[in-house]
Amino acid sequence: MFKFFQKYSTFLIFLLLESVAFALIANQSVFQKSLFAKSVIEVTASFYNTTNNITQYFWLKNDNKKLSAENAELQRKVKVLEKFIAQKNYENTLDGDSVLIIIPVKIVYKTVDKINNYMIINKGRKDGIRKDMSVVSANSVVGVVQTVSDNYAVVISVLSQKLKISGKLQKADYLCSIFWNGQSPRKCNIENIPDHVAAAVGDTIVTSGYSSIFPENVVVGTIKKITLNPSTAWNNIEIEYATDFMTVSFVNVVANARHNELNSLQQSLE
Amino acid sequence: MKENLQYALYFMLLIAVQVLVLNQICLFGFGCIFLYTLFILIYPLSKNNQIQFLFISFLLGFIIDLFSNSYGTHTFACTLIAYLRPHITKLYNGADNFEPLKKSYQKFGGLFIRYAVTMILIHHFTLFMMEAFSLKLLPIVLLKTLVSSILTMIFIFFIQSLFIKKNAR
Repeated sequence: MFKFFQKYSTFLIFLLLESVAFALIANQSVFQKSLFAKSVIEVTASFYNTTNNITQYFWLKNDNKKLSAENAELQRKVKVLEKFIAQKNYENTLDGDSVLIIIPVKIVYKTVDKINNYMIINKGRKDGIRKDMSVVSANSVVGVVQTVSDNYAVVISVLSQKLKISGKLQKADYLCSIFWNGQSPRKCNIENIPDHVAAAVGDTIVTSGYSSIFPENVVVGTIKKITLNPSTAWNNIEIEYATDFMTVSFVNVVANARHNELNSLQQSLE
Repeated sequence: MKENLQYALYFMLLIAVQVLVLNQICLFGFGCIFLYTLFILIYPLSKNNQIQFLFISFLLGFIIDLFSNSYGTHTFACTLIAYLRPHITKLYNGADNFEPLKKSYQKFGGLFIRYAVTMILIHHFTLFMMEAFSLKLLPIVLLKTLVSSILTMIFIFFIQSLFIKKNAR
């Protein structure tokens, strides 16, 4: 027996190490909740934060351009809303659900070339970031907060197999689920829009707001290509993301103030 | 002892380069460069330190994983090629050969290239497959493996040729 172990010791240790690695891959959700994961994030994020503080100067011009465009768009909206409020009694237009928390954050590290992409943002528990909050750039989807440490948080990008967004065709209010195909950081797909719903190239897809994560009407992207699958009469639709994941750096963490309430209600139903 | 210290230095240097520079680079949205695998290729392996080598490779993968939010994927791929290394050298070298392949780029030339390409392909394929964790994504995994392997190989041979020129003088 002992000889057996001696002879195959290398192989046995190899098996042991591989099963440890495999357990790490298979039990990601357990790992994410662990205290260890939080301290790892704290260390790696502060490390990436330092490098980002240096490299961000190279992108300043681009970032400024984007921010000023966003600013202009917001000012336009304010003008429209001011007119709107002047005409109507604003109390009637206030939607009871639209109590949003908005926290501006900076992405200190991101990947776009992996099969499951992620980002690290420069705010964490101390700034009020919690798990499952949504991350939005200007008004388009970016990702969902996954693990939070004291000063940083890891965000799963929508460029991930782990994230399915519940969306809808804006003009028809038709629900669909959106998933990333793992290929280009610019494109994603929807499958469950039937042929009789008149979707056209250029139509906007927004979030449905049915899951408690993303608020309603956040832009996902615009339809780029529609191909009919003749065997099922469902359309295969390709969307181009509204967010440019290659350059995105300043984003907002957005959460419904009643996020916890919604969540516990949903959990009690399940 | 001096050699141990030298390899400890390589270990840390390769991790630093990988995490600081190469993890931030992605070409065509497909190409990743995993230069740190060079450590597993050049580590002086002998019959007595195989188990030690497995643990070191495991640790290498684990540290890269921590910095890449990738859980056990790098760990798994690294441990696999560390275990397979003597079998692959045997395949190309004929004999049960544990000879350190540190300077073999100049010694063996084509042999080292074949050995390195095999190791890198296995590593990258395992890595992307574990990351995808489903057979549905196999075409993408294969494409990523191919593009990334070519990029990693270019980097490894570039570094190797620099290193060897310096040594020869």
